Amino acid sequence: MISLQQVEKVYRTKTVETLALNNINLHVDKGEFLSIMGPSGCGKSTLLNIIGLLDEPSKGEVAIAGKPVHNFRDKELARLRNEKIGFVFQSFHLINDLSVADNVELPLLYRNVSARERRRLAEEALASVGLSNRMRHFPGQLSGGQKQRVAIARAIVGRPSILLADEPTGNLDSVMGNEVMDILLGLNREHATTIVMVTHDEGMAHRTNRLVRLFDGSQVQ
Amino acid sequence: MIKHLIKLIWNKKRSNFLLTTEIFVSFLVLFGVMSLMFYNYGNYSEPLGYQYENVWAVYYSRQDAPDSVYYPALDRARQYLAGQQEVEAVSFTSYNTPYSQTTMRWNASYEGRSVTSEMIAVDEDYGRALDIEAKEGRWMSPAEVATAERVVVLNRQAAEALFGQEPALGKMITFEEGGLAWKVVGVLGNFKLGGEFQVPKAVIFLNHKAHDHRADAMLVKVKPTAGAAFESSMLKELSRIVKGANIELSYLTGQRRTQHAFTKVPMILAGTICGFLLLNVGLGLFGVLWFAIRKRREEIGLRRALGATHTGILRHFVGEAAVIASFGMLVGLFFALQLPLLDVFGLDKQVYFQAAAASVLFLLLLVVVCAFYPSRQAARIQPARVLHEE
Repeated sequence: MISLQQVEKVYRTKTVETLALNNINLHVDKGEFLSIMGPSGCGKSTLLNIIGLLDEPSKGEVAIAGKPVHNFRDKELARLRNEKIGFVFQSFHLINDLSVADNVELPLLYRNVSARERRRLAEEALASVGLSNRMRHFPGQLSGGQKQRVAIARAIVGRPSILLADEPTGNLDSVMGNEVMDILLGLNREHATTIVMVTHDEGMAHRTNRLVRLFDGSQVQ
Repeated sequence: MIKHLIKLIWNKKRSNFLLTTEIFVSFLVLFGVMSLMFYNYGNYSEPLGYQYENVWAVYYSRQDAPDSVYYPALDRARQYLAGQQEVEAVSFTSYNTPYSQTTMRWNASYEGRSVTSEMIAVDEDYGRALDIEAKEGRWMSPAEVATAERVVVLNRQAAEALFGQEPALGKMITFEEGGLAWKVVGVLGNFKLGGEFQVPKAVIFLNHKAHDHRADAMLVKVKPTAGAAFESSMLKELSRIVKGANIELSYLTGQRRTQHAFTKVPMILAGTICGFLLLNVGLGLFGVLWFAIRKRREEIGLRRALGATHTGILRHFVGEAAVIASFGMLVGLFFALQLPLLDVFGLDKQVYFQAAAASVLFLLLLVVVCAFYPSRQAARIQPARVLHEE
């Protein structure tokens, strides 16, 4: 489902060159739940950004669903992100001026989906994370755990085959963190969604199928 | 997407209130200026009805000469002018010459219909001096002028007001109840005495010899070669012929410039104020969007992650600015359209509709231009970076 070959990422400024990722070779199968661990600054988020087509590698090749993406233009990348990939972030990234339902509908705005169908799919996604009763609320009225569940509903509303989660439980207490993890595991089990999760939490990482460790931009496990 | 933008802006209505208010005020001012411009343009595009180039207006004010001396002297002055090589035509007229900013209005009637009309006392050569052609009938003849017959020539507006669609020629009109009747011998097209920016109004030309006040001026159509030397010798000769009268000369082209200034100056002033206001709106929009984009980097990154393209983000922010402007303009339109509905200034309704459409288009264009650069900056934001900013 996801394939990275000899991926390297270098950040250059006028004076400094930083090697963020070094020769990463990674294959994630369809339906696999992979966690990425490592100390802060080891390149976990950079790797996730490259997988999520939000950043380009300096070298190497990335393929999503069997398609190499290095020649893709902005429009094609945006379409691939929209249709195949869902994102869950540590700090939720909900738009405070939109209701919960409107936040969840966001990915569908960039597809040709009617307003009625968008609302139906959003209701369905919110129901799957147990937030049907919060549709008309605004993010400011929700707890951290609820916000993350809304973010998960937004990530899955377009039924992507890949879910990328960047420390999804990082801002939550253990109870809420476990709830969110249960939802992710459920999605992986019931819908065969391929999930790549960056985490600092060993416990959460051990609940996934496979663990990859990074250190100073290199894969060590 | 438009619905999404409206929802987003509605939910942020407090922060958008000031900008919307500014657009509303600007719309009203722009609408006012545009209405004035369309009104003036509409008048300007109507035919003037005469030629003013190389026409001089000679005014003379009678001092204490008796009629028996004064009028024969004027006739001699006219004969002198008519005999000059540089002169193509010369005509007696009342003091309300074109562009002179003077007026003489009477009420004319015909079988119960009446019209308040500009009255101009003229002779048989007035049409030649100003290059006017009758659309129907003819100009008054030398014989009719010489025998002081009560004949009149009407312009289109006067004829329509008095006779509607009926033929005007041969009809008898009066200027006061029970007064003497004047025969219509010709009908012209427009005759805009006040110049190009004037609304075409009713004008009636009457034989000056049959009119108590006679003529107080002459229009002299000269050849293009007539220069200052001729002008000087002409004035000297006229002063000699018409003794005891003050004689003044004006070019119609000069009077036209002065007359136009009266129309253009308020328009330029209003346009300048409006321009500053629009500049303010433009800069305001630019600033608000710039600030909004800095504040909404995370949202922009998120939208990119969820499938928005560069162009999509650009369109989103330009669209947002356009929707905010549309809110302000909608409220402005509500007030602006009361003018034609209530017929406040009595202008043609089309002027208001044209002004409203032009104001909407102009403001939308301004918004798009001002929103473009900040929106382009928004489109260039790197999602990978902003989504990890705290």
